Amino acid sequence: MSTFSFLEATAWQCNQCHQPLQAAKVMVTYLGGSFNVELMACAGCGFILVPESLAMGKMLAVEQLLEDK
Amino acid sequence: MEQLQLRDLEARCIQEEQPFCTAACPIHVDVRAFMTSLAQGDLRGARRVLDRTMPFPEIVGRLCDQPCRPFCKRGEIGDPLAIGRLEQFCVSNTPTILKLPQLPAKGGKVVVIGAGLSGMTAALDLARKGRPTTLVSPLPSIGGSLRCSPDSVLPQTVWSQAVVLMEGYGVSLCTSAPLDQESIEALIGSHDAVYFDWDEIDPAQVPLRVGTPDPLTLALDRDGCFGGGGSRPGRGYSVIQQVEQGRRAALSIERALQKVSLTAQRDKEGSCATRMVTVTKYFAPAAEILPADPTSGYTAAEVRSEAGRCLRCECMECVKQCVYLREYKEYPKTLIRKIYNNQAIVQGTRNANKMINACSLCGQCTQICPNDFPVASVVRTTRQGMVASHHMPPSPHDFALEDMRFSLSKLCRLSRHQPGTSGSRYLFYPGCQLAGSAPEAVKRSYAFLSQHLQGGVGLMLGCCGIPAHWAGQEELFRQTLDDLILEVRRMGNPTLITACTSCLAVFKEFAGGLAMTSLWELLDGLQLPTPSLIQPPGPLTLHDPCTARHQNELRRSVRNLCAKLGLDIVENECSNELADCCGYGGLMQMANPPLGRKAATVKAERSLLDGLAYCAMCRDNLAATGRPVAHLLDYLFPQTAGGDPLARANPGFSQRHENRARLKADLLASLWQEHAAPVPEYKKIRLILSQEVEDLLNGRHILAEDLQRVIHRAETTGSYLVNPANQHRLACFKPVRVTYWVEYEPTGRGYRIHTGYSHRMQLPEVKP
Amino acid sequence: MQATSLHPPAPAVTLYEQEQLFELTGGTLRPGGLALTAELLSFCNLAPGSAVLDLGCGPGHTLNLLASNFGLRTTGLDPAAVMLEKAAKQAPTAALVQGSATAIPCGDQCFDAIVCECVLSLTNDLPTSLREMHRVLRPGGLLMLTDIYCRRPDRRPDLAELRSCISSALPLESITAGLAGAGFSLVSLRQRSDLLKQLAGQIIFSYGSLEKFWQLFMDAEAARRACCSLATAPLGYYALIAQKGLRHG
Repeated sequence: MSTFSFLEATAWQCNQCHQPLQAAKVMVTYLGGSFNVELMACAGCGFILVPESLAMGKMLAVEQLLEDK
Repeated sequence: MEQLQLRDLEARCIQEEQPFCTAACPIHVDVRAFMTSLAQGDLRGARRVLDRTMPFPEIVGRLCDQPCRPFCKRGEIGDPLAIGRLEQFCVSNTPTILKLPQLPAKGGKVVVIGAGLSGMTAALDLARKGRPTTLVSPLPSIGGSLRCSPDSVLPQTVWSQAVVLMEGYGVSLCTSAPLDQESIEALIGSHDAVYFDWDEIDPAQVPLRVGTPDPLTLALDRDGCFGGGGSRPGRGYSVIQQVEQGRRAALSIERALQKVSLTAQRDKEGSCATRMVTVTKYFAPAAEILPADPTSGYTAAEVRSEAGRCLRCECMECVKQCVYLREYKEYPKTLIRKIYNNQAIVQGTRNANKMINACSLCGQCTQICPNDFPVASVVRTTRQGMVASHHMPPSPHDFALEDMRFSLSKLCRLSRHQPGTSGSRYLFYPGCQLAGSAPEAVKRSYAFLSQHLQGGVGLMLGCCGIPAHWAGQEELFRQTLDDLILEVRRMGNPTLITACTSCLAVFKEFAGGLAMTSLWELLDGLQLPTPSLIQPPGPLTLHDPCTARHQNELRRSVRNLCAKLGLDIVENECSNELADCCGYGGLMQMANPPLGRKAATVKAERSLLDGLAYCAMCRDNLAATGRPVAHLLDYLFPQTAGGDPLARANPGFSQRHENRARLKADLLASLWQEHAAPVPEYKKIRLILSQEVEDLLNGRHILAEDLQRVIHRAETTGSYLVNPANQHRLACFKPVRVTYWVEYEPTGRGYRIHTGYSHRMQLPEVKP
Repeated sequence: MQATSLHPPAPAVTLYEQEQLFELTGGTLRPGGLALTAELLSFCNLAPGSAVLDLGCGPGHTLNLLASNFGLRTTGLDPAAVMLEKAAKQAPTAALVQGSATAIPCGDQCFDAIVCECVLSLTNDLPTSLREMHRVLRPGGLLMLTDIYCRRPDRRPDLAELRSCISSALPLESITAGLAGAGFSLVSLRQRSDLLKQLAGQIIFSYGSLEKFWQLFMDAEAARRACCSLATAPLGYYALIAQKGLRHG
């Protein structure tokens, strides 16, 4: 399955690990659909960043598609 | 919804019924379309409309005796349209625009004996259906009685045009035919069907017992023989009647040749009734526009003006009032067909689901409809079906159901007897939205009731369950209501006093066994402080909530109370049984937020005046449109140091949660000397939000509580992101299903919120 | 919704030949991708070295999977030369033939199994294709068939501009009846419409919306129509395994 990359330069850093975020492959799921996405995350503790534009944009669109059975 | 039910329901909507003129016309000319084209100056388009149904428009359009005109609805507010004169103008100034197709040739030889207009029509219709047809006349030329019309009335050219037209469809024309009993008998014998046009043929001379032909089929005593046309006894010769008879006979002959029923489903032939209803109230009366120069007739401008007087009769009365129907561009018949298709497919799509979830279920359309079309009932049943078959998308209703759950949670729910008593004759039930929107009003109302009623007034805070009912969640609704009924019984079956008309409507429909009254009817029977201590600056328009639609006594009491308080109340055009929904009903504003806002605006704009509402949601939604709207309780039990009731803003969802929880805590402490459960740690987090951010979060259905929980989790675990440039922090938390993200900044006075958003897609758990 | 075009229609775009769908589904052009293929193959439990025909092999990803992961002797059939060129690179051990399902250029009873994914609805002659598949299978041979189907035949999507398995989706009954008519018996039939949702979700993640995706193949107005049409068309996806009878009559 292909991976959808949502990497972007970001000023956010992990507070606990005191380090910048790096690209990470993550699987997101909702109502039986699962998608491989590439997001910025902390290599130390695994905190994954979901940016506002993604959450309110493509993610919301896919959620709504999956909800319409 | 089954097929049969669908058809019954569809039949109730009259929007597609024929307008009055078309129904009265024996051949059902689409007069409305004709006038629309003429009004736009589209002469060819107008002619096309005539060509579609009228045989020989050059003749009929000039001579028709207009049985439609007395039925023209414009006649109720002005003069009826000059339909005949406009048709004359049209056919005199246009050639044939539309040539109707001819069906492939079939068998079945037909002879039409008598070439009056009736015979001509029959021959034309049958030839178009592909039947080999012969038109026979004893006279040298066709036309029957019309032949002697003067040239000024009927130009002679129309006859050659008619011949060319008929021969073009394959009619064999035979004029100057010698017709006696023997030759007629021979014609009958050599053809499969015969039509006699009595305009040219004397019934006494045909070798058949004519008697009174059957008016439905025009059948005569012998198989395959039909007769019509000519003058009617006592009523004379009608041009359009010739056409009607010829057309009827042609259909009878066609059915006879196909060997199918001659009589089935023919009730719409000829002039018929229509169930159309058109309201003329909002049209200005208009007199007929006559040609300025009678000799030269209409000018093009006069034609446009006269045709422009057409009302374009239709119903659409419910659509005229309802934002929802206008938004989805449906009227009830097409709406339920769409809903049925969505159900039948079993697979919803975003558009159809959203449409089903966006109806406010307010019943205004049913009230307006001459046939009481039950849109709300159909939509509600559909939602229940979608939930039962697991096709209801969660997100539109989740927020409202969570809100309901919160109102029913330990933080907010309460049921107590009046302090110092152990029994209740009455039980005050303010409802979840009033508690959320105006908790002080609840306190003052309860204080008043406790003082003025005997036998003990208990208090119950909770939610009647109507959000679940609207969301199609029948099980949840039943459960909620059953719990409530149980609790009321446990308290000794007191009489419920409801402040909310929605609660009252729910109880009346689903908990009819309970004794109940509305706060307004009750107060109307008591002595009140009159007039009100505070007065609005001017007259107010009264906004009835949609759930008070069928509660006549309640609405009357409200008006009595206003009068007693000395409030100057003005009715608006959609009050009482016609009240609009403010957008909250049916959870419209959750499923389709922009439509919800439109609904509130429409309701507000029914009057230019400031408003007075007695439903908390109406008040808040109307206030959110920018219109000053007060709640009746603000004047009944005014706050000693309160602000202007007309200036109170919409509290928003978060504040409502706060208010409900605080109301319970305050009342428990002050009236029953009990202390509520300790406040969870995260509630102590102080939030600082600009109005802009607050509006954004409200629009995204993110509550203050959600922000507090995210920040609390982040600050206690240290698990958050930080931006070194501005020291902003970004964290997330998933209480149940939704993940909330908050960007915030710690300051000395609390946490400043910069933005918040959410998603339902699940991330893998963060490894510690 | 009927498309009334003001200019002569552009030649129909063939969906499976588009690069974009390649990338999206990890090189395959179908809902479920190679994972679904692997699932079906595991069920069939073919012995290594068995002869398998990939009908409509496209760029050869399935051929590669069959050979590498399952050790099968593969043959790929496709009508498009450009596809076979790609397949030659992707699956070097496969025998490749150009041709169509209605006239498979192979002898009788050559294969132990046939894989036919998201292709059947594209052949415009279902009975002949199935008969051919029956012919080239040895008795007891297995047919793995996946495709889009139409749940409501009266609501076929109007996608005239795009030649794809979507516009020619048949009702499931037509397919099962056709299989029986050609001499197959049904071993397993599963409805996998969840895979369509998955693919749609992937399209949205890539392009932002389904409409933007369709705009790659047609103009904005046609894309909007296609979206509306698909939204109301009840499509499903099936995965079935059928078997040719042991006794050949």
